[in-house]
Amino acid sequence: MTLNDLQKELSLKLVTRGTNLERPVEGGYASDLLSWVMGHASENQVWITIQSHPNIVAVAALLGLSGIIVAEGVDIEENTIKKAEEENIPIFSSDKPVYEICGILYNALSRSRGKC
Amino acid sequence: MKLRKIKEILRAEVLMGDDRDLEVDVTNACGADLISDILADMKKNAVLLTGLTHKQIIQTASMSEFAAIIFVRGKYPARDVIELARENHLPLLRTEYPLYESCGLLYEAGLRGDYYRKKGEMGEQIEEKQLSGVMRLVYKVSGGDFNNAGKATEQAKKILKQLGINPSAMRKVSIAAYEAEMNIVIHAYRGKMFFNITPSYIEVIAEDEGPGIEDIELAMQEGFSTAPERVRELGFGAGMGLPNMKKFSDVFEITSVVGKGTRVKMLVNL
Repeated sequence: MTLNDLQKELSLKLVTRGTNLERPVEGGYASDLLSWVMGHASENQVWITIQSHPNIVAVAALLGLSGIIVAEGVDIEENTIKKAEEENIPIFSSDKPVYEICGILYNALSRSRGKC
Repeated sequence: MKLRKIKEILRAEVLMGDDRDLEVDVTNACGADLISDILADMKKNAVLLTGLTHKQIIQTASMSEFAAIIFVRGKYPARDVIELARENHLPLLRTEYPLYESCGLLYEAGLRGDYYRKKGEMGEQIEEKQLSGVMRLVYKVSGGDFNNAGKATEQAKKILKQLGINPSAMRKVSIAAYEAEMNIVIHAYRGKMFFNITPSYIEVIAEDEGPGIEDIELAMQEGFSTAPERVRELGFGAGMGLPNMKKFSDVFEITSVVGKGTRVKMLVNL
């Protein structure tokens, strides 16, 4: 599954421009504690959070995450978007709560794995 | 400025490259003879002015994505060096001018750097040395500056990537260093991050001037945190910083003096 597929599946709004949506998504990770994400999330996972300050981009870039979904319709700071575009980290916005995004993503990923 | 114009200004000879290569747009330049300086150079569309003519310079310049190399002081590279440049599609020029005059002539002709503009954006790298087989990167970190938090680690990671460090070690260094950098930003007044890169291990040292840690054993426990509320709202200060540093490094040492500061040393084996 790629970020493109993910965007369609979850009807996400892409907020960054020029970032790579062909990246694979192999899993998801949900947490709002940055150190917890730092210690537990893995490469090619998409991160679901309600944090939207620029430091989330640093975490995603350092871990090689495929992208970030900012949930619950939280406003995303302009600085965060600018930094994400520089680091090529796609950020999506969604009005859905974290719980629902996780549920839909989990099922979509299981389905796409089943296909292969 | 087109590479062709640079060739004219420096009265340079083209050693590798055709007419089309000379149409490349150059917007910046780097003059250096230290491989580590060249590797750390993050400029885009830049030419490299150097007196080094060995093979490594071609690999280094390709990795750092330079638009072309200009050999100064009338130096000639060996034939196999030119061959390697051809394989890498890296144009090579040669000028009789020494480095100082080459830089001056290009600067005068309007090829200006963007050091001060970039410096603010890129985080401050204050020192870099190459000792026998060891590369040392040093970055300043400012306490309370959440806008630039993580930049030192990001910069260092880019250099590790260019050096071809294996992904699993790079991940460990990134996580451990990021946590140490964030601790300086969250708790200290100011600090420095050192990355000592050797062929067998990477050592990260984070030193700060700050309040210090009263009870290190307590601070090492997962979930223990003294971070203020406004920091916790950003998702920091979950009490995972020090445990993460320990978990992702092969050797972990911490010393702290209350009222003075803290020093963390982390080693990741390659």
